Amino acid sequence: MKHTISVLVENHAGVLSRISGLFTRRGFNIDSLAVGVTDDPDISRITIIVTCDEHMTEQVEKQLNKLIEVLKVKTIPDEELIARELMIVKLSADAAARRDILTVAEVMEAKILDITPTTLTLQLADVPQQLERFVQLVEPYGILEIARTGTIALQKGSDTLSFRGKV
Amino acid sequence: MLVSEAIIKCLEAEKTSVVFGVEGYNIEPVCEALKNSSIRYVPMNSEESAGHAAGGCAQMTGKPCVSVCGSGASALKMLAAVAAAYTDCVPLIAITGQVSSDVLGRDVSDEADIIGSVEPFVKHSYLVRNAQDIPRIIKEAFYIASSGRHGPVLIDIPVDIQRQDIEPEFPESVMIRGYNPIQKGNTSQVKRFAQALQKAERPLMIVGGGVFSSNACDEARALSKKLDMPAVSTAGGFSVFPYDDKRFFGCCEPSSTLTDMAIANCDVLIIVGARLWSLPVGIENKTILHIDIDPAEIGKNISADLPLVGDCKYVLSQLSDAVKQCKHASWRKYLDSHRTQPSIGEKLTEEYIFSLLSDVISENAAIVCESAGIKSHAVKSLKIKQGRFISRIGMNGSGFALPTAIGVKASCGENEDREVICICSLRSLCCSFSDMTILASENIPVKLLILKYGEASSVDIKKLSQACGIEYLKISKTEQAQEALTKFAQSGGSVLLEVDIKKQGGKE
Repeated sequence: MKHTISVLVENHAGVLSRISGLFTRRGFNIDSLAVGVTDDPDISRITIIVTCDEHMTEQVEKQLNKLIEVLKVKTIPDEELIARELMIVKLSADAAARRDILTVAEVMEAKILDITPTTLTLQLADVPQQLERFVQLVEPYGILEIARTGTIALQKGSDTLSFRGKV
Repeated sequence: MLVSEAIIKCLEAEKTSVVFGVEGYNIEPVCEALKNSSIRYVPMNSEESAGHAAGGCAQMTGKPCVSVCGSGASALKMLAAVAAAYTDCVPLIAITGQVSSDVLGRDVSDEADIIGSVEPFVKHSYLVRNAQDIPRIIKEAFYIASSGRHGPVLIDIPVDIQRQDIEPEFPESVMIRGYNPIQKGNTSQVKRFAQALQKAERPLMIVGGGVFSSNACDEARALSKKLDMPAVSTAGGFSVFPYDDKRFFGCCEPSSTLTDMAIANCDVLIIVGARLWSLPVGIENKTILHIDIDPAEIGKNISADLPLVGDCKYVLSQLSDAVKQCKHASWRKYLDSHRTQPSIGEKLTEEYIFSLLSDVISENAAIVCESAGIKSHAVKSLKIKQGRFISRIGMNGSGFALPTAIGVKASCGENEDREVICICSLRSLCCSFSDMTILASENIPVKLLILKYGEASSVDIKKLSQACGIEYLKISKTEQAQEALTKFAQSGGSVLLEVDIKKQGGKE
């Protein structure tokens, strides 16, 4: 089953390669990985989605914790998960197809980023399942390119994963 | 102050007494500074040997030891030793030279991505980009290598940075916010451990290499004594208990009938500082208590009923304080009844030699033993009292024994008189025999016990020994063994004893 792991790390060069190396080496499969800096410019948050059993998740967490540059690790429980992914998709859209695509975009709450006589470029930020559905819906019109960010996530409620260590 | 000099200052501040290395491209400034310092620099004949020697020194003392070498192929050759240090939790500090920082990443001559290559085998690594960071990085490296679960740290230093002039600020302490190794065990968990041990009718302790890493031999023996608890060891923990301790029942890697019996019949099994990668048989249906400093080890290979994360030294003494003295006379008697006197036979087997050797060497001798086959005989027949048994557990490569023994001997200060014995096969010796020259040239006396298995040898070991200034002895018949081994033990300098091993039950 899928698990969402949130990791706070030092914002150093090389941290990401250590983490991805760890996953490859120990045979953990990454479904998605997204990195971005936090409100503290010295700390980045990595959101990793892995498919594995409970025992494996525990090992993933422990192995991540062993890396010197990893500050905090937490698996977000599914029922507490707020997850979003951003996608930009460029579709082939001539005048005839344009209206239909725009209807789908409106229903799915996608934003129009660019329009040309032959293409439409749309943006959608939503849960990963909605992104999949959107792709299904627009596929018949001809997808020219897709870029996705990977899922980012926070936990619902007042619990936070934060690091306020002594510096 | 030049960075190379600042590096030496940092090493001196960490009380480094000896460094092993191979001079090469892009490390000259550091090597030059080393030679002009109070630190003893031992030039080895290969980078891998330098790494193993520093590893041996670190393993013996439990404190970090440094190896240095150049960039590119030179640094890559050291990686095998770094990997061995990683799997055996040895606090090795590897310092490698790197090409000048202005050409880094352009695939110039003698450039290799060492940080990338070594990543799976180090506890941590640094590529120095800013000369000013050197004192902090070295301080951190020593701290990381020798705290928590010990392990190697690699520092890659571009040659132009080694030559820079800086005004170094030497930090007094280390603060790494993402790294806070646990020392003491959780108090309430210690209580649960104590209760489980106290209630046990047939308790058994397995000690691993972690007991050496945390310098907790006394604590392990004390707990075993207070609870009257039998103990067995893994190969890494062999010699934590003296062979004649009445509560010690041998090494369970590889297992013996006795250790199998002990493990299968105990009701509470306490595992101390061992990852048990080869699961002993009969481990089911008992309460398993697991102490390890690395939380990731708990539940990895063996699922524990009660886990306890902490440094063995602290945790074992916390446990000793928390339990009351008890007796398990009948349980011990049961195990005692299964003790067998190993029959050493009449043939020149490993058992025969190791058994005689145990009787002639000094009590505190350190024995470095090549892995795999020979090790499994050694842990069955060597009788070690106050000495130390050192072997590679995780990486069974050939050619580690001699350089490791050199490191072990060099780690002994001037006042410490310790006999160091290196046991390996002829094949293993051939993988590192160039290091035989070091024994005489650097005055590091090591005694080599070379086991020959009837293989055709391309080298005349006698001539080789003589060329290296090493006394040569040979045993090819059982009758010669006693005399030769006595000579071997009495020798004050380096000596090589070649033994023609006959397979147990094989033809004469």
